[in-house]
Amino acid sequence: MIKGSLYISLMLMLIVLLGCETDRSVEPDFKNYFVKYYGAGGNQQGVDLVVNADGTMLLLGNSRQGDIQRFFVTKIDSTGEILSSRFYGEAVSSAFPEVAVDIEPTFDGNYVVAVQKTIGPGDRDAKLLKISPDLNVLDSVVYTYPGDEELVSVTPLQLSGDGFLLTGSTTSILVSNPPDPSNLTDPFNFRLDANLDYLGPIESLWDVGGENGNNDKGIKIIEQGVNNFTMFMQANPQGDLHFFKAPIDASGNIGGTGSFVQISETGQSYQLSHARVNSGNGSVLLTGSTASGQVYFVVLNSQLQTSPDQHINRGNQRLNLSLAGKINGISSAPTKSGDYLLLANEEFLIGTQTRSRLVLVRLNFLGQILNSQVFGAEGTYEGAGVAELPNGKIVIIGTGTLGNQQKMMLIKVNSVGQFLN
Amino acid sequence: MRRLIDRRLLKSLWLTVSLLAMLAIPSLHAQDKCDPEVTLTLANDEFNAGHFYGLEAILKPCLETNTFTKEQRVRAYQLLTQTYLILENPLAAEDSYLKLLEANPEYVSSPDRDPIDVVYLSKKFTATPIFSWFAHAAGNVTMPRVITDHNVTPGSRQQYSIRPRWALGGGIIWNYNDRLTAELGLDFVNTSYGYFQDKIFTDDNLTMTEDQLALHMPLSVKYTYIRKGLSPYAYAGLSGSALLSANQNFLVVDRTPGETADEGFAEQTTELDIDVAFRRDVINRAAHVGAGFRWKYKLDYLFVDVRYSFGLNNVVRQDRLIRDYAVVGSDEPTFAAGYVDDFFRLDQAMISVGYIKPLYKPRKLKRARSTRGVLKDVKEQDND
Repeated sequence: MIKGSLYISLMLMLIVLLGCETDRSVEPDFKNYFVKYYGAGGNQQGVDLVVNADGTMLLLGNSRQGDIQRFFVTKIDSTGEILSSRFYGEAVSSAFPEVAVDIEPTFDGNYVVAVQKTIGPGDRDAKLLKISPDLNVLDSVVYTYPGDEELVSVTPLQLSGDGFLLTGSTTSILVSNPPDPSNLTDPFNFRLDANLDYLGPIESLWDVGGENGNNDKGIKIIEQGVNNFTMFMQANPQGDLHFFKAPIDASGNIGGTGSFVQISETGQSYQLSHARVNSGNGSVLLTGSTASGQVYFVVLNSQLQTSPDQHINRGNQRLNLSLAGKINGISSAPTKSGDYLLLANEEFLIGTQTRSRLVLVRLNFLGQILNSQVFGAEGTYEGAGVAELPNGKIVIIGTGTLGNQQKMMLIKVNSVGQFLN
Repeated sequence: MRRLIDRRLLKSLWLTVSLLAMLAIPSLHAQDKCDPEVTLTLANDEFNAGHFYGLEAILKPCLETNTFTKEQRVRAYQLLTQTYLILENPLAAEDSYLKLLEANPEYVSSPDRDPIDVVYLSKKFTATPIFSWFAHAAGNVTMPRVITDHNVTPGSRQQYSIRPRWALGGGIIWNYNDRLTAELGLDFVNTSYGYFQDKIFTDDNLTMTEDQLALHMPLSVKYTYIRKGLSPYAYAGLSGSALLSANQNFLVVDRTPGETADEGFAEQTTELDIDVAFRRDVINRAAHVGAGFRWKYKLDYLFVDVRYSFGLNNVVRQDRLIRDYAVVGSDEPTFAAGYVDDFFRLDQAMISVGYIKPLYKPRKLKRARSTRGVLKDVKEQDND
């Protein structure tokens, strides 16, 4: 009996021996999905990312080590391995710190980084940095302008000749005519040529019958055709903040009275965080939040029809994510399948401390929630950008708390947001 | 009438006393007669005098009452075996030899000491234990053997370290023969290993320790080179193990350099503990090799053993590498400490001391050795 058991055990053991696992038999899962931190000593924040056609990515981040504020770009392959990395800005404490806000690929194969440069107390200016694929600086210009410019995004131009459009908000009284003390901020746009030479703005841009509000900010300018641009912004002409759009001509002029068109539904206040063109069908994805702490997401068709009942995702603009905290929509991206990826941050309290987590949501073409995933641990975990990789996997750039410090964080998950193949 | 009754009563009483006396006398006689050394001397004398038929009666009282010591029982059954062989009663001879082996399982007949017919008879028998059991206590060190490396913080440097722990266990040995055995064990094993990652963003570091409890079931085939005193042995085998628990402890150290070299580093630490059993395969397998020495201790053995076990499977569950979707907070090591398990196998080195208890079983061999084989052995012993 016992002898028989020993023989059987021996045979079973021999069978399992055949299953010896090696690097050839084990799937390279951590290349297919991962969480990785990038940066240096001190605190870093993830800001934006660019996904190249070959699967490589450029990650844009800001870094603070003591009093030294710089920004950096890290180029990685699709498995998250660093190909090259470079810090920009002065490596010593500077009275003119620089904070990066956006990175975009240019149509000549390079990249452009929008940078917020502090000139003095309450005085920030826009800076544009052009870098090569191997992260070398090709050119950079600071656009000194009266008032405080909060730079939000840069748009490389293709149809209208090489160049760039910058947008954000400004406190410059020059853009109010006559100066209006109650006007806190107005959107701005700067048009630059391929050599980063300054072609605008138009100083009377926002004096259009007082249609704009007093707390307005440009979020993104998109190029719809030759010298045909649309600015997406948040504005509060009637008190509440709303998503707005406004056409811009070749000279940077607004089309005229009635050009400011509200996009979001009336009834409460909305904050626009991100706007993006779906290059596949020309639709525009607008991501933001309601004042009550819900994600507000709008998909405009290629004609940019603004009425809520003309939104592609009509009826589903407000996302009910069934999370306890306050949800801020941060970014969105189209997918090849026609779905949308939406990135949000959830803020909640643990005791008296505010914590945050990332929320990734996949929506179908009509804006209905297909699935959602939450990422993060105890601490502050915030998303900044989301994109779909050529193989359908999803990457999220953001900031995570590693130990006691903040680091730029990249999350790669499968098409339904899971750490699975 | 009354006199008749009295006489009948007296007769009954007399009969009862007589019966009791008859029952008691042999026992008293036996005890009286069983002076072990005297009995054995008498039996030897009778044997030497050729009085074989009375030997059984002489020895029987002491054998039945277990008055003999073990050594005396051996001598008694030696005499009986020889006697029955002379009396051409092979069945009784074999029975006596079996009882001799029961008295001393390690008894080996020798042509120098025993008549050749006893030597021949002895070759029909063995007392080699079919099974033995063993118990041992061990110290162990566990070493992860990395299959694929996973790094949450690119550019950092990682290394594993050993942490001595313990094991207790036992098992059963099947003795194919004196030299070749198969052993099946069951060990309760406490293991631990360390992981250190530094150069995380230049100055930070991470220390992780993992403690596991598991049941190991090693199956080995062992060859023992039998010598007087120390008998060396070597073995190889496979083992399965069932993980009972696995816990990881993390210490993240953020180090911020001061403005000048004299200021050194300002350190902030973060600690967290997490049960990671969900991230481990419950059933794991390994192959092992080992060697050691055993000492004869009375009829049993003491041993010292060294074993190295090669993990065969990746112990990390691939579908739960970062997160178990059923366990809240399972991804905390990744997000908060910047740690993800490598895929690895667990190797283990173990040194143990133990005790072997052979379960001797004197028995007649199904296939006795040939006369030629016995003669060959005898000649070899003569030559030696």
